[in-house]
Amino acid sequence: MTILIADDDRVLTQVLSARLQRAGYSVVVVYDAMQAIMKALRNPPDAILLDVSMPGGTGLLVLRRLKNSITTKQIPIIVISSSIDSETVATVKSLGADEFLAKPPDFERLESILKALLCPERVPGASQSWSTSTSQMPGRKQ
Amino acid sequence: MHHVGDDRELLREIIDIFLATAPQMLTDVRDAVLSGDCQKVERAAHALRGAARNFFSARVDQAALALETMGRSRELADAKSAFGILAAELDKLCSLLERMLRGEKT
Repeated sequence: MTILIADDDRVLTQVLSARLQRAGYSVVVVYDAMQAIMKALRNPPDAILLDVSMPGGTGLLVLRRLKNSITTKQIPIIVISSSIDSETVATVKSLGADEFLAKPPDFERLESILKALLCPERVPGASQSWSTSTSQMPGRKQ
Repeated sequence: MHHVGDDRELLREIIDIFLATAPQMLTDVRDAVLSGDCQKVERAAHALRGAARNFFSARVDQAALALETMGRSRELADAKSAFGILAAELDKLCSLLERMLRGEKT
C-alpha cells in the first residue's frame, strides 16, 4: 500500500514517513500542491494525506482536482491541518475528503483510519460516515 | 516522545529539521509583517505554527495563531508586537529543543 503525503511541513512529513514505513506502508512525499496533483495523477497512491495550506496552491485545490478526476476520485484523502475552524472542516467535507485530522495527528488514530479506509472489511464496525478528529494543544481551550 | 513512536533517533531528526528551518520561517513572518502583506502574514504564521505544533508548543502555537488571525482579518495594527511575542516564544522552544539534543534534562 502506498501513501502519498502532501505537506510542506518537513518535521511532520519526516515523522509520518518514518512511522508509516514502520507500519508497512510505502510512502511518497511531496511538498507543494502542484506536485501533489501531478504525482497522484501519474502514479495513483492507495491513500493521500493532504495538508490544507501549501505552496503552489492550496490543499483545497488539490482535493477538488483529485476528487473530480476519474483516475483519482476513489482514492481516500485524509486532510490534515492546524486550521480546525468549522468553516475549514465544512469546506473540506464538501469537497469530498474522507477524513479530517488536526495537526499533529495522533498516529494510532491515523493508522486506524487508514486501515478502515483501505481495508474496511477487516475493521469491525468501520463505517463510511465522515467524522472529525481534532487533537488538542496542551493548555489551550478549543 | 509518543508523537514519534518512542523513537529517539526520529526525535533527534525532527528536532534537527525544526532547528534548521525555524529561523527562516520566522524571517518569513517578519518580512511579511514589515511588508504589510496580510496574506503573506497569514501564510507565514500558519506555516510556522504548523511546524511548532509537532512539538506541542502551546505558546508558539498561540503566538503564531494571533498573527495568522491578524493576517486573515486584514488587521495588522498589532502585528509588530505580536511578532515580538512569537519570536520570544520560538526562541524559548528552540533553546529547549537544543538542550534536549544535548541530552540535558529539561
